[in-house]
Amino acid sequence: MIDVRRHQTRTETLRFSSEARTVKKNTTFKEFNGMTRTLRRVFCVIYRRTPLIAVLTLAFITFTPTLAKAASPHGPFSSSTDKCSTCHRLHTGLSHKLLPQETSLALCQSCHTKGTGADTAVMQGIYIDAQNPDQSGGVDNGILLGGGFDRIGDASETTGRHQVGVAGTLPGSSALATDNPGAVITLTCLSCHTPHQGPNYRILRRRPGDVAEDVAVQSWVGNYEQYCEYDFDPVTTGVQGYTDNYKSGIASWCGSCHTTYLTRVEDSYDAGDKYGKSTRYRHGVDVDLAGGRPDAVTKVIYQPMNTDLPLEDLTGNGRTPDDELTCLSCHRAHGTDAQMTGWAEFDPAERGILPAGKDSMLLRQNDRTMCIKCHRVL
Amino acid sequence: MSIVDKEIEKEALKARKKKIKILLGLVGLLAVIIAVVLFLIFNKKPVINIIPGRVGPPAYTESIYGDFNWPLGVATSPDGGKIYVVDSNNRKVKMFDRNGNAQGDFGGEAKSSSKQPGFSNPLYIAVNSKGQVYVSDRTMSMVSIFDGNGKFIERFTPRAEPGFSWSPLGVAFDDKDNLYVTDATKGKHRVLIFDRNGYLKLQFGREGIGNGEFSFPNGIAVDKKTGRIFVADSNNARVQSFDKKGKYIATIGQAKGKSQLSHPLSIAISDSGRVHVTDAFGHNVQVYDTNGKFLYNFGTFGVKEGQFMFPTGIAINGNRVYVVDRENKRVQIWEY
Ligand code: HEC
Ligand code: HEC
Ligand code: HEC
Ligand code: HEC
Ligand code: HEC
Ligand code: HEC
Repeated sequence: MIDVRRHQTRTETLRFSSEARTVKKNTTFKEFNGMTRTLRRVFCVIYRRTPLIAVLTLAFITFTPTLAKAASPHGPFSSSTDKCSTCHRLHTGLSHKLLPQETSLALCQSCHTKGTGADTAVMQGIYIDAQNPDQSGGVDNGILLGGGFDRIGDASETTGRHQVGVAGTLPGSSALATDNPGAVITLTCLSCHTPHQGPNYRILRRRPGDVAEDVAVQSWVGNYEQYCEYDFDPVTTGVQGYTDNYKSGIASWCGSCHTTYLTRVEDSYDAGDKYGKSTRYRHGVDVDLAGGRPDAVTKVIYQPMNTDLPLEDLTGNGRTPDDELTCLSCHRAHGTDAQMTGWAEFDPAERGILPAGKDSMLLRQNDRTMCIKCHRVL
Repeated sequence: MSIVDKEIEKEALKARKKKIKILLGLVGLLAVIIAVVLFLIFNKKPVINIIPGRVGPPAYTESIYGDFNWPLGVATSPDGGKIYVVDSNNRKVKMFDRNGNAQGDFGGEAKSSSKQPGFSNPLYIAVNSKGQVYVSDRTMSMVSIFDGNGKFIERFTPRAEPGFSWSPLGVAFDDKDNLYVTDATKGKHRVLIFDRNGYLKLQFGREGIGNGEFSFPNGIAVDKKTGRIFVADSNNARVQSFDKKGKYIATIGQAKGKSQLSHPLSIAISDSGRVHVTDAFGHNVQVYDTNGKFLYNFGTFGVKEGQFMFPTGIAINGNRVYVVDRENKRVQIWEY
């Protein structure tokens, strides 16, 4: 089972004790008495502004190294650093017009596997952090929120994943109107992410599956216009650290490719699976845990406060029943090692991607563990 | 004496004088030649290319295909008789002889006990003068030591301040068998130098983009003649050189044009002091002198012989250059 280890936040707060300040103020003003009036005024201004100056200095100190550090090649870009040349060398095969698909996958993997160019090793599903030693003298690397494509840490191979670099049938790509079974596509990192900085959480593509309109995906973890990798560094975030603090847009985003999964109960259609054209019932998404749908067929009792499943917190008021259920509440984005004993029906062997019976459909937890976290079974 | 006799004598004298002149000339020429030869012998500066046979880039000869899955580091035994290739996804180091014949492998999946050999994600490899093989593994925060035949000896224990942690990437030795390691510990990207007993002698650098700062430093190499340290500062798209004490000297590969680097991963220095750098995203090997002057490069992007797709590790032994060609799953052998 996946253990989401949260990277603890180390926030430093500077506290001004107002009491201490008043006392000190009086003594200081006494000392000012011997000075000329102008000098005194200057001192007073400086003195009154002390908290402001302190805050500004602190801000300067905390943010300057962050901006200068720029650990991520995806941005922020500035004119003084030629970050483009890393991926675009104009006289070689990797100039952007000549970038073939397989090459782009190998390009991203060059850094995002094994830890040679990034701390996020997405093939292994780990966030490499040497400062976290384990019992055996090795290290206890945190598990990535997206999981891993090949493995989850050292312990286990993935049982379900978005297969990159291999052609697969996209489940549910058919738009209802066209009756078109799933398209066969070869996913790469670039199917979902952009290589450059962008406004979406985790630099996710604005138009996955080539949809016509931009899809915004947001979280509470960073300012993606300005920074990338904002939240990997607990010191720079000062707020959350590395957590699944989703805000909005995930379902529409996943639904850009998996179109039919946005629809709860609808007319019959072909979803590109073995059932062909038939009536589909899907679990609702983008519904809050408090009320759900007024006309819901099945009444459910929620225990949202007990759930360790991520939800979308639209308002930023913390975990409350107004948080909404989304695809990533139940699924991982990259890969999972959850164990299924006969639940997942969709036979992956039919799609030729994994041995039959091994697929866990990217679910976060074993079997139907997740369901009872929201739906109390009496 | 007749006039004729006198004339003959005069002629003879002239001829003798001429002979002496020619002799003297020859002696002089010999002296000059000897001087030139002596100059060539005693003057250390490589007036003519020292790697025998070639002034320019090496020529591709052949490749080793060893069922690799994500090969990374490469190294040779001191005598050049053995080639070690880190086969990262298979979690093994594979051994070959000079002719490319497989000689077995070692490593395997890591066990939790640190007494046991094994890898999680083995990366780079270096061999010291005794022929011992050191392999780095960042995800396990470990460097493992094996003998030349792949028998596990122990895990390298860094002797440094209490609470020391590291995230080792590149490994290399100097001629005194000091161990050089590039470290990608978060916020601390740096170079660590350990003596033969594992004591941390020197460390320099931190995470950043300025001179002497690093962003994911991978390959590292030491020039035997000058003791200069060359570091592939991979995510900053450059190589930086330092003196023995870790003082920053120069940045290599930042100027636009042929000399530019995009994602340098490994470095190997030939006996003649040529700094060979694999440029993973440039898909070639860039060669500089120890002062950072660009000399030439070899290889282009592709799948044919002598072409690269994401070259990673590099090792030089004598006139042979071994380059790991990651996506083509082979090790190419080039010769000077
Ligand atoms: C992490 C590697 C990386 C870096 C750094 C990078 N690029 Fe790109 N760039 C790519 C890839 C990969 C593509 C191909 C995108 C695709 O096919 O979707 C691309 C495509 C492009 C394109 C084509 C249009 C597009 O967006 O598809 C332009 C223009 C471009 N890059 C400019 C830049 C500039 C300017 C910089 C520096 C500010 C830069 N890139 C930095 C990887 C990178
Ligand atoms: C660029 C289009 C695209 C996007 C965006 C996308 N997917 Fe997929 N997804 C695919 C394709 C193609 C497959 C089938 C091939 C495969 O499994 O690799 C797939 C397969 C799946 C599967 C079945 C996996 C298995 O183990 O067989 C699940 C579950 C899934 N996606 C969920 C999601 C979720 C959740 C999101 C949003 C975070 C998402 N997808 C976003 C294209 C996409
Ligand atoms: C099907 C879409 C999809 C594909 C394909 C995909 N990603 Fe992601 N990736 C995501 C989503 C969604 C997230 C956010 C996951 C979360 O926060 O739960 C993410 C997160 C990440 C992160 C942040 C680390 C984490 O897991 O929190 C990195 C780095 C990353 N992806 C890199 C890659 C690379 C490299 C590839 C190609 C090997 C890739 N991704 C392929 C959708 C995708
Ligand atoms: C030169 C190395 C390098 C390359 C190439 C590279 N990345 Fe990254 N990437 C990084 C680093 C460093 C970070 C910062 C986080 C970390 O250390 O893992 C990062 C962060 C990310 C993130 C998380 C962004 C965030 O802050 O939420 C995503 C997603 C990502 N990369 C995707 C990609 C994709 C897709 C490609 C291929 C087009 C790619 N990367 C190529 C080094 C690289
Ligand atoms: C994160 C919380 C959460 C999880 C996990 C969850 N559900 Fe639900 N479920 C809900 C909410 C909220 C609704 C109300 C949906 C609506 O109003 O459309 C709901 C509705 C339902 C319904 C009624 C559907 C309808 O159209 O009226 C069923 C049946 C159901 N869930 C089954 C499941 C199963 C099976 C699982 C496990 C695979 C599961 N749920 C997991 C929150 C959850
Ligand atoms: C309440 C939990 C839950 C939510 C929310 C959810 N899924 Fe799933 N999903 C599942 C389960 C459980 C399965 C496995 C079904 C089985 O056993 O065959 C699954 C399977 C899938 C599959 C594999 C094909 C199939 O139908 O079996 C895809 C693709 C998928 N989900 C996409 C999505 C997308 C896209 C979203 C958001 C729009 C989403 N899911 C939201 C629980 C959920």
